[in-house]
Amino acid sequence: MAWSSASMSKSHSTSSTPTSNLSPPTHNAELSSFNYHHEFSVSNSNLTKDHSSQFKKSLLHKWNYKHSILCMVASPRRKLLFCGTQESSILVLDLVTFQKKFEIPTHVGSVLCLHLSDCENILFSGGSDSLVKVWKIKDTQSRHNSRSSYSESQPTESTYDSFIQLIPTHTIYSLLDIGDIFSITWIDAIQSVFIGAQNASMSFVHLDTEINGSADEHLQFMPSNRFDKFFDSEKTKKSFSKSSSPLSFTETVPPETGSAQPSYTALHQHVKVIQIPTENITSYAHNGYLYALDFITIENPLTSTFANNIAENYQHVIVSAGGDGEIKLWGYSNENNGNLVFLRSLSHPKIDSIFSLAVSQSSLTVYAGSSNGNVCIWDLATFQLLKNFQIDPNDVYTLAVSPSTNGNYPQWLLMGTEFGITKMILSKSTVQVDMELENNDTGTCVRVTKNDPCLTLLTFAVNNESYLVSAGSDKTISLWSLHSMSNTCITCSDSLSLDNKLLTSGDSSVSGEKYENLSTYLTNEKFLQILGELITFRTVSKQPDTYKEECRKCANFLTLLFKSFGASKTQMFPVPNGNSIVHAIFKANSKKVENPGETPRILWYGHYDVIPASNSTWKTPPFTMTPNNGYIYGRGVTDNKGPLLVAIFAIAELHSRGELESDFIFVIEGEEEAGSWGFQNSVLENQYEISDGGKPIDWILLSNSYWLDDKTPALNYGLRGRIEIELVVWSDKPDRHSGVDGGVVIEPSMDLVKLLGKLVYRDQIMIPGFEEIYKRNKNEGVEGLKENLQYLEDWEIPLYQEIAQRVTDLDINELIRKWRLPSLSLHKIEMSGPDNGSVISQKAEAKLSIRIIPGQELENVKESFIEYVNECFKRLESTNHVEVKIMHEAEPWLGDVHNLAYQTLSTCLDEEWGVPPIFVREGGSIPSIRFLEKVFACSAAHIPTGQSSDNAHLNNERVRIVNLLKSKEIIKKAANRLPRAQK
Amino acid sequence: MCRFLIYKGKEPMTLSNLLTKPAHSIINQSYDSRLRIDAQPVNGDGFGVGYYTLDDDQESGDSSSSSSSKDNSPCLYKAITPAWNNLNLQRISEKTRSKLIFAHVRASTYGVLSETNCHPFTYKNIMFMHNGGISNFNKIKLRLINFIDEEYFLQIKGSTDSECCFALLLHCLKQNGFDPDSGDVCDLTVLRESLVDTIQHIKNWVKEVSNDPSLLNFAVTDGENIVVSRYVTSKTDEAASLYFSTGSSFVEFAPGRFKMERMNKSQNLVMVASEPLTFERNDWISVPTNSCISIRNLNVLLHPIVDEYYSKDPVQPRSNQFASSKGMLGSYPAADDQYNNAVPPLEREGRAVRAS
Repeated sequence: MAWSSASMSKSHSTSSTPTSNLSPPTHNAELSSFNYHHEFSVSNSNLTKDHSSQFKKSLLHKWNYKHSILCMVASPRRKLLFCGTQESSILVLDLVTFQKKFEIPTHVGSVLCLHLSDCENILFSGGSDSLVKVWKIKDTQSRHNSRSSYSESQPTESTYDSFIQLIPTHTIYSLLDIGDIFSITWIDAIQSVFIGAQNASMSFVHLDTEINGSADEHLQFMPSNRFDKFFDSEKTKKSFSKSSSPLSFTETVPPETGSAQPSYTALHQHVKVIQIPTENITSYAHNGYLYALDFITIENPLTSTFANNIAENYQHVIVSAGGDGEIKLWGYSNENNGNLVFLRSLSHPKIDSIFSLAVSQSSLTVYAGSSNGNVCIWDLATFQLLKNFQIDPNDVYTLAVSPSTNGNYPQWLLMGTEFGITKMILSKSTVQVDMELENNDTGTCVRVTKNDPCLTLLTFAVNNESYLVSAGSDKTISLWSLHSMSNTCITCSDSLSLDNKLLTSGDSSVSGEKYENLSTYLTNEKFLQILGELITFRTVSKQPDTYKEECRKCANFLTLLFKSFGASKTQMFPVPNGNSIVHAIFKANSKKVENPGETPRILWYGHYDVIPASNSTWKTPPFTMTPNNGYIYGRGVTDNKGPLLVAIFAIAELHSRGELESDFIFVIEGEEEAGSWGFQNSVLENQYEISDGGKPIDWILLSNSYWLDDKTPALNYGLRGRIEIELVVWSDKPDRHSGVDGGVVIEPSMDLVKLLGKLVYRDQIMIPGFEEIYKRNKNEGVEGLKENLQYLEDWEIPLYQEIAQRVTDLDINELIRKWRLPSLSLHKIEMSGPDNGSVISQKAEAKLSIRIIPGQELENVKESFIEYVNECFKRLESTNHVEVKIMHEAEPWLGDVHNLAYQTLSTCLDEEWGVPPIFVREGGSIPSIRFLEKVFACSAAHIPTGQSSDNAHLNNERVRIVNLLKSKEIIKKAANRLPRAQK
Repeated sequence: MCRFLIYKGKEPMTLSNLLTKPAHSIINQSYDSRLRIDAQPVNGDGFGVGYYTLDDDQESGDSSSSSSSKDNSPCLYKAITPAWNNLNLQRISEKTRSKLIFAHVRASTYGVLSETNCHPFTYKNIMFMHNGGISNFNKIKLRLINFIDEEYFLQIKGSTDSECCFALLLHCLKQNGFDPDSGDVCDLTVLRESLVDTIQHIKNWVKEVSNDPSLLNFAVTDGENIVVSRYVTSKTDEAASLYFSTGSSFVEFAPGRFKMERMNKSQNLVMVASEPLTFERNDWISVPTNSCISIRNLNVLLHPIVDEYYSKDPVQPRSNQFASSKGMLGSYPAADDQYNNAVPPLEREGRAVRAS
């Protein structure tokens, strides 16, 4: 097995680190696997040149988009990513839920550059339409007005819904034909935007300029409309007769109809249109396309060594770079309403064309990425070229310096080319390149992605964690964690000390300090990382021969996870010939709990086993978690490892912060997909242990089903039961030949078919007892009822009406048949003898199953079935024999939608999703729910997590990340709000 | 109304994608007379295409020989028939690819209708063409001839002002230290300076004899670097039009309709043309008057030509009347222009129309 060998090699590499501290007293082999999964191990400290495979692990998410992304900016405060696309729009991505927030059309043609003000409230975009647009980022209320009746009564809001709007405020254009806008920078202190364009010019505009002329007046001079060069043939002759200049403001040429964007007019209602004043344009600022702009603000000239003090007169210095290979510094002075003074040019014969620029304000360093893979680093105090090196033969389109995070992590220079991303370590204070590698000038350059074209990358920090985003011509956007990519000892020792603490503190008397550490450790990122580890266990319960070991490791992993998360008790219950049950208890620890004995006790049921999956039929490796477009893919992500880990994290988060107000018990089995083999016996044996010493359980919760569609949150209150049957008819004689014996014997196969024919007539099951269900006496005569509504109880009708209203493309009759009526299916018929056309089989065998509904007693149905079959067989007066084998059974389950649990959960869902849930049932069966209800004498409630398109049990199983995150919040709320059951 | 077009790309381009297919291709420009205010119907005084052949098209034996013996001069195809009427051009252009192409359609200003008067002109690996005209050229022609070295004078085969300018340019190249006979690639700065020197010489001579502006849009290449000027000897008039477009690929998104795709910051191809070839106005940017555009690899550089006619104010109005009166102002094609590949004059003459 590939996995175990990996864990072996990892455990070897940990031997140099203090692993002894890691191991709990009872050391077993599984611990090293836990280490592996948590990446506790210190990897080799010698940086090699190619770390791309390792870097893959730090990929947090990946989006596919229909067009190339040409530029990006991140808003750490709002946790959003703004992307400029090749096809004229700005795409906004949520960095917490990984969902696409929205996309708005902006420019005509490509959006070539974006810039976000330091306050993160003003966004600038520049496009191939020669326009600069200014957007105000406005936070709006998340609740819809239409639902005011709900929102008023609810004090808390959803954790993951933030709503923003991009409101266009200004459009800036130039009378000159400046071509593409390649670079924008904004200096807040002087409220000015600086613009670098294709025609090598640099311009600036004060946003608070007084606006002359109406938007309509400006419209005709805008690049797409103005008369200038763009007269069409019809108007040419007329226009030529006029002598006035096309550039004059007085001339009015009606804008071409049809070719102008109609949206302009609408937009311009509130948008201020600014024409760049001529005196603010520096023509030939460079002699090539002006690709990059940045600035340096000198807070105090006395303490700055910038530019050997030649720039003391200027508070702001603009740094520009372009296709001519030069970096130029410009002083901005406030005189005459602002002007730019050329200070200094930096160039080097080797540097042809500069595409990207990064300025480090603190170290007065400029990093420039240029053609043919050249990168150069300039010192702005002395104007020396500090370093010039080549990373690969492709143009360096983009580069960025990683955020400094309190010196905990090294700072990186990240460079992107068509070939991928390369990083180089920058030491903390000054740029000093470590030359430990033999390779002449590459220094500590490390390739982190390969064949992953990178057009634009940026780094940012959120809560002291730093991230890297890159986008390329392959139309993808990738989000990486910079910390997990910086594989140095510092990182590892940090995580070691933390996880060390987590692992060893198994007792309940933990210090407050530990809580603090753990609560910061339990991030959404960590959640996804651990889920990724959980997915790697091939816990296929239906193939015990191959995967029993994997299941054991997974059970161990979960047990250790509970321990490290502070569960007061955690253990495994063995299941004979099956996978163990994992049990854990988190005790209420909130200060709000006054009487610890009286807290509600909630039992969470989940399972860690999965359905088989094959590499060949999946688009991604099934046992590797793959994030994409707001979803994660992998076997088990939605059934049931994802929802299970959600519950564990929810409770661990509350517990780590000392806010858990109920006792929360986990019972996690490993045989659910194999019919919960051995679960009942094991639970009955350990009932006392499970309930923490026989204490009463108030509620059972689980999440093992799906929404009806992809958008309507739901609570599940009913499941059908299931009886799996084998029906065998056999003869005392052996297999025979129809040419020899045909006509003289009663054939077992014909008997079987006759029996099967008796089971179902039209759409009804003929087994005695079922006729009660089909009696159409309920709700008869109620007007407006569709055909099958008569099967419903009165209290159910509003629930179905709600579904019909909110879920489109759904046949209610079908739902009723699936949820409220039993069904009988024939799965397979097998006959003995060789497979040819003249055999009279000695034995014929049918595999059947019956789904039964709540209200039907499993035992009665079984009995009735056997009796009915035997009776039918007797009437056949056959010489053969019949036998009914019950292979497997599951009881139906019906929750009480009006009880306190459902009411509470409904409120929690409503708060998180912004809409109240619908109440649904499912046609399928989970054997353990009704069983647990009976054993612990309490009611269960079922909270679906995933969407209907999750492909549970199918290829490419997936789950939407926002569903997991919101589900976690729902469970957190529920754990603290569910009351004690009224028994 | 001459029109010229320059292509340089990382990948070779099929000539027809520039010459015939686009709605506003240079051949369509040559007969689309609606914009001409001099009321002459067409620009039919011949045309020429010059392109550098691909390395793999040359015989394999060449690669081992020394650079001096290697023939790196461009292939030239010229004709005096109107461009739209030349079926050979259409056939050849569909099957010919090159990474560096010069194309020119001519409306004569000086010189008779003859193949020797068609652009582009070549000397070894140097290729040159001109869009515009020198006012009162006859009055300065002798001065020019006397100024240049004999070897370049002897190269002049035709009777146009443009060819004399080319001879002058060759002379300036030599003066600036580059030997045009070497067949080598010229340093871009030398190439640009020589072109500017050529312009300065002509400007100085013309100024002495006349106040009429001269339109000096020159294009020169050594097979590697390209310099194109947009220049007028006037501070108040607009120069003959010149546009350029750069991007990642030039794609035909609908029959006859091309657009420039921009996928990243570096360029895969550069086009410079008297008139935009496509409807996509955001794809084209005009070269500022009295400046020159240089193409090094595929990187576009812009330099002002600073002399007495240079105006520092970038938006100083210039009248386009002079240039347009000479038919030298390019138009931007409108999307509703109904072009098709069936060239009208062919129909008029009752000849078969090439099936598209």
